[in-house]
Amino acid sequence: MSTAEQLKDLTEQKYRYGFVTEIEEDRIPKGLSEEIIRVISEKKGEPSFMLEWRLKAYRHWLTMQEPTWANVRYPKIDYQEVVYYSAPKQKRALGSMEEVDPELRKAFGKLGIPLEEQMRLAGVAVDAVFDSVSVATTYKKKLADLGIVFCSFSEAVREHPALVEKWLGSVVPYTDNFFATLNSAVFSDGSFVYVPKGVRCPMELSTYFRINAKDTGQFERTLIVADEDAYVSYLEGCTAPQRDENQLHAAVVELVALDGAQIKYSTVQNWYPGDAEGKGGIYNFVTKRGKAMARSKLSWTQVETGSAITWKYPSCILQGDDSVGEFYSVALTNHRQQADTGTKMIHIGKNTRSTIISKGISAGRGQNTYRGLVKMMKGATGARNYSQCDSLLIGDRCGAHTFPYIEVRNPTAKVEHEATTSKISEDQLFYCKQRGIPEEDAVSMIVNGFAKQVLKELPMEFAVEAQKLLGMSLEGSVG
Amino acid sequence: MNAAETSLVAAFAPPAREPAWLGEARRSALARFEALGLPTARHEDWRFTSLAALGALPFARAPAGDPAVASALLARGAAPEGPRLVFVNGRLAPELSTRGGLPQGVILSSLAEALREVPEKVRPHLGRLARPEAHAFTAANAALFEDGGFVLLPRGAAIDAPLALVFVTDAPPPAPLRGAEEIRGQAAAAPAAVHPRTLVVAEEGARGIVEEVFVGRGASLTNAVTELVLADGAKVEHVRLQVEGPDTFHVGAVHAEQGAEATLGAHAFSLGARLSRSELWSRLAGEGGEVRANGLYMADGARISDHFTWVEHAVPRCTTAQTFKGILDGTARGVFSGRIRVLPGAQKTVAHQLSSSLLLSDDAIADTKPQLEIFADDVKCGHGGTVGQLDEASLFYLRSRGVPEADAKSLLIWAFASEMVGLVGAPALRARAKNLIAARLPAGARILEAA
Repeated sequence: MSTAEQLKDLTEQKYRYGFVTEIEEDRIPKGLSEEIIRVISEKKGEPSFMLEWRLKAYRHWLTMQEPTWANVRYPKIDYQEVVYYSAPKQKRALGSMEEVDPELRKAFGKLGIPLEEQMRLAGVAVDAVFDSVSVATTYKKKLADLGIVFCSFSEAVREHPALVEKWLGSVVPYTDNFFATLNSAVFSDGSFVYVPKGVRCPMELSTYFRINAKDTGQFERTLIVADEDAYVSYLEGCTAPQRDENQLHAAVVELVALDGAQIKYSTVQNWYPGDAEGKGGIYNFVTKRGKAMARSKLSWTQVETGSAITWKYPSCILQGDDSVGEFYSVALTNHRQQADTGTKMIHIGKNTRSTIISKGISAGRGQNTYRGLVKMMKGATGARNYSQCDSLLIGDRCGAHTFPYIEVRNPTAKVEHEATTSKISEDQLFYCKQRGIPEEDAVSMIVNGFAKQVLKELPMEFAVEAQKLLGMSLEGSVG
Repeated sequence: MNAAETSLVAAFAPPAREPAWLGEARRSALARFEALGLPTARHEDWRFTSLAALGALPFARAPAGDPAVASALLARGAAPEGPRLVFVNGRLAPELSTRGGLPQGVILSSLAEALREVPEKVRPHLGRLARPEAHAFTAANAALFEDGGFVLLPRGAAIDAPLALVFVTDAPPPAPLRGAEEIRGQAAAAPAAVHPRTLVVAEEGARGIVEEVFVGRGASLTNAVTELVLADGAKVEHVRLQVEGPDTFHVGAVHAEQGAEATLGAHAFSLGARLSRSELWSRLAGEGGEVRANGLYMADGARISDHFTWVEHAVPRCTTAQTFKGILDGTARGVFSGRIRVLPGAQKTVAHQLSSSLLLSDDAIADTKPQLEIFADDVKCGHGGTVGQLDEASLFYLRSRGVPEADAKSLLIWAFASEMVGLVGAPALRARAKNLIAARLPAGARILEAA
């Protein structure tokens, strides 16, 4: 097979995880109004502070306009055409995995992530979000013994209302931005983690999200609080079935790292990117932000391979002195995918440090934009940032764009930014080939090498999946 | 409309003896300016540079300047020797200009003269690159310009002496704090607005150096637009030396287009003005073109210095190299925003961009926005940005050798800045730029002596 054919084959690869699971659903009419919000809140049995918060957000949202600054193009979204709540029907409370709907378990099986095996082999507690409601939570007891709360957001609202009320919106207020405000009004479910003082969470916490019901916007809300000197590593992974209509996803993730705490948040995102012509595919408008207090550390690692549109800037507010922020990202766009992603590092405290490593890969007609902000505030004495943004182009119809913003208000702060753009070097390819390595493997090696700096930051459980994802779309990429 | 917009629109008075096409272009540009209004911080390209202070001022058409004052201003070190045209408050001052000794066919004249004498050379290019559609200041310039420079380098011409265009503004001193009523009552002392307009045409294979110098005093707005047309194989060095007075708002846009194998070296030295905005728009339209865009800005007090570049690679095998450096003291703000666009098909592009800022005080601000937009795969593009203060170790080393702290700082700043001077090709321009930079350093005179 010629190189060109290989390239064509591989870049036209269909979404492998495209299927629809028939599951009975509990749905509400489409559209958005105060009435709908009351229904959502009531269905979830929420306390009144939660409903008030949602309504405040909704009223604020009505005054906002959808942002247009991102370097992405998509047809206008009709927010009244979206169904804001859908939950798999549960007949009764489930005691163990065996009681989970077999259809649902089969779906996870098809995705190659059998829960039981993961529990046994990897020691991972899995809080599986199927559409909007958590249906299976494992390893709860072990965590509970340490005082760690790891549950679905709805459960947290019911059982730990004080914690939720204290921290919800403390990093991403309900007025934050168009999509975050929409999320605040209608969020369906998500995960909640609280790690008490001095506790080191003994396992990677993970959630597999899936978008399932047709026309259902998914509005995840995740809140992770690590109390003083606590440590937690959280894994988020996504895959969704093939669709004809665009699906809206507007998630919010808030991280709070109190003094001396560490939070590591890893994402592998592989939602349906649309077909080769860009039809269908998920719109992913995510607000992720963490607040780091003194001596604490926040680390975002993401591998973004899916979605038709990605609009996502995991950020760190380095508020406490000596706090550290990290952002490691691999973003891949193929076919007609568009990604506008990056990070914000807001240095407020003294001697705060941040590192940004972003690797963008564009193939087909994909458009990949890195957009990042490094802001050194007045008080950020001795603060330091290093940013590196590399882009790899595969084919001559894609685009790679780099839009960093550097704003410095303190002379002792040091900021460095570097960016490069290139294609796969023909020398490297030739070298591999003359050593007997097939072209396809060589390209895969080179691409994985390009992304390695980021992939090595992923926890073991994810590293394998991430490499597989990159390989699937990128082997044989010869420019 | 704010005071500045209203006053600029009111100042519209197209000269009577102009060609009809130009009058038409002026009227449509004015309509465009009215529709656009001055940019605000909500405009992405202006998010770091507030025009609020400018917007509040009602500007009047600049009065006839005093040649004696102008010549005194020129004597402060910025004045070029050799062939030069001097414009005082936007109008040609023949007594200060010298234009002898140019090779056959080379034209150095005022734009108004050129419109009369060689309209066929002016009309195809004037307003072609600097489109008023998207840019309020360019629209205002297109509607309101009185005069400016015209340089024609004919096919194959090669001229080593820099051709200088000097724009002197002699404006009334800024109004002390008074009520708006009083300001309106004293229209005579309103700040002056000048809109110099320059066109440089380099025909096939022509080679030359064009220098634009901006000096002045008093409260004023200088809104300059320059168009550089480089035909295939042309080589032009364009140096912009801005040393305006501390009460001037300076907005200057350079629009360039380059044919195949054409080389442009564009240097901007922004050393003066209360608010300085320098833009370079360059389009590489022929294969093998090269643009070297450099800038140095020094700002202290509460001044703002903003550099904006937009380079478009439309065809394969072109090169961009950009270096911008800022030195910021007091509560000054330095802004660099540079975009390199590689359009589909522009393979084998090589583009590099570097921005460095030096913060000398606790309250100085640096905002940097280097941007790459790439739609072709076989390219080598990169950018880098750094912001920091003077290196402690270097400072310590100098002091350990007995160099007083203030001198050591001056030396290090000098080293940082003089790299930019070194990028200028013409020796005469290098020397003048050095003098002007040294004049801004406490130990500058001694450093120059030693050098």
